[in-house]
Amino acid sequence: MRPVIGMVGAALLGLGGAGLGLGLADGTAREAVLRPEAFRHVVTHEWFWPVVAGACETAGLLGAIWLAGQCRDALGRRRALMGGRARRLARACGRDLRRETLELPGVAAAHVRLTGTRSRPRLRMTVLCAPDTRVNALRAALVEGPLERRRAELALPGLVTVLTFRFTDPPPRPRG
Amino acid sequence: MGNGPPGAPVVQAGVVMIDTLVTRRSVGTAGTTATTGRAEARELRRARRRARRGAAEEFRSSRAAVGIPTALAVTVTGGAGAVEVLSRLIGHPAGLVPVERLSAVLRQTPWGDPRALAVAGALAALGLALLAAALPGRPRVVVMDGADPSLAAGIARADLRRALVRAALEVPGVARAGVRLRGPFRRRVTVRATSRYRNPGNLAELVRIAVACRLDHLDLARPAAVGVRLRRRRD
Repeated sequence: MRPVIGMVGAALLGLGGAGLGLGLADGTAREAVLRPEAFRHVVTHEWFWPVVAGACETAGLLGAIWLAGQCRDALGRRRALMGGRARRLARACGRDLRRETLELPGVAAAHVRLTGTRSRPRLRMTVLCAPDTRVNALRAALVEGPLERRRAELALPGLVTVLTFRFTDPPPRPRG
Repeated sequence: MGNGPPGAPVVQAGVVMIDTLVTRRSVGTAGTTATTGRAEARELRRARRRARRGAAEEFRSSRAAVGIPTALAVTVTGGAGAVEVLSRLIGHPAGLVPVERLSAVLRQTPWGDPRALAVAGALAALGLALLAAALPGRPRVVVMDGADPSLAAGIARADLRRALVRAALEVPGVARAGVRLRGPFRRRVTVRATSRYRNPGNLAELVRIAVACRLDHLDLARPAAVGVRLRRRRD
């Protein structure tokens, strides 16, 4: 979605920049924003207003598609947009996954949430571990153990898992 | 050869020939194995790259807070404009946009008018702000390495910094430490440490090793070079 934001930004910057340029230039600063020539141009070209209407419709339609896509994406990142049975199964798996994750060495807390749609589900996990934990080893243990079992249980071998590690936070103190 | 039974040279020649064949075949097998190994290594590199990009995409902010209002504004403006123009074309103005008043104002307002300049400036500023929002920015999560495209693993940036500070403080003689993570492409970790020793010797190197070792255990997708700036006690 960023490129579209950038494109809208560039269009606005272009319009604003052009307006500033016309306003600050000596030759055009005293001319009206809408000149009589513009009216004459519109009257003599019958295609003008239909083209403007088409452009507005296209912009409105693309904006609506973009809006719907963003809302779906934003919701899908936070909530499970899927049916009741799939959601119940996912919740049960999430509980098991959390329990098994907590049994791994160094793990202080774990949060598991299934998000996304039925066609693109996401398992979001946040694992809080001790500051000196070997995160690479913990990740390997998690992926090869509990996560693999839950994927098999849900019959989703390619279930995308978003795993964020955080560290418990006793204030660091110098030694010696 | 001469000591052997009659016909032995022939047998031995045969053995030599078979040996040669076996050797050639084994050389060929080794060559095939090497080629397969290279192909596997290439495939692994590609898988890692794919996984890294996928993980970066997962952790990247979608800028929904900027994108949704912008999309809403584009939809409303475009829709209202289309309805107004089409309704005027068929002779029944919808009246969503005060066209006559707007047209009268624009006919009387020159480009150099402060109001016109203010509107143009506001549009340009809004455009600049949107362009700035479209830039990638600094991710909150640092992506970990891996070859599994269905796993996006990362470490919270602030937590990573604290872990590295802790690693630096665990070196005896370091009184204070701060860490900066820099560079989106060529990552660099800069450790600013203060020693309580007047003559710290190789303390900077020890801090560098401790931080690099901690980073090694974290298995980041883009390995970072570690630089240490050590301040010593002066009294």
